[in-house]
Amino acid sequence: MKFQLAASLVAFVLCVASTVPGRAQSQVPPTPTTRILAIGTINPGADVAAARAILPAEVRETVKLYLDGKIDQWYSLQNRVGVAFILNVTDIATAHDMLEKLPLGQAHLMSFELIPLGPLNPLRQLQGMAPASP
Amino acid sequence: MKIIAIGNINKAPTPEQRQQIMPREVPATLKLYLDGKIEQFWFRQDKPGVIFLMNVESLEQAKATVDALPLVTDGFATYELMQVGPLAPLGLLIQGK
Repeated sequence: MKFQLAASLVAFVLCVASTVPGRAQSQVPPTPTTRILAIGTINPGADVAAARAILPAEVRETVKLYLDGKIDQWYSLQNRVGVAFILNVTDIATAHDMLEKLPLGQAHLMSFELIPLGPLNPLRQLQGMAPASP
Repeated sequence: MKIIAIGNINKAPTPEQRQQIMPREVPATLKLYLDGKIEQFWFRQDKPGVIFLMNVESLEQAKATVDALPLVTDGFATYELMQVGPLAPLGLLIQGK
């Protein structure tokens, strides 16, 4: 239900965005969601020793997600404890469930912020994209 | 070094302002890609904004680069920068722990 609400909100935002194109007053077609950026950080006040004990299992499960084709790119954050994944997943609810099932999520030690991503739609506005251009 | 830059629109430009800014913003963004400073770029689907994976010399260079984009100089957008690196815990797999 919550995600349905979020989805209709997204649709609304896209609608509003498409009514104010930079180049012309014509409708800008939306782009599809193709990836999700997931930023995982240790929960405030989480037991760091407990997290460290779980880490080997977390790594194995993360590699399995990669091998299943669900993780496209993976990084460690450099200035705080955490990770950033680019997921080959397009549905926020699916991504949420998948990451919550990781050992650190199960232990309530890590949470993910999820950002749906798509192609950089404004590239349509480049001068060379106009149909009349050679 | 790699930086994930999250660009947020803080103040939505009016349609007139968009027509003025976007013809500068989009080519400036593409130029950063062609210069190799932006390695990958995406459009946020949940709210107006962009995400870049940047390849730069320093956090300062990344900040100076995105802060020079028209939507930032004109006060409509700000960027949050996160330095990222190799997924270090994978090292556990070769230490056999």
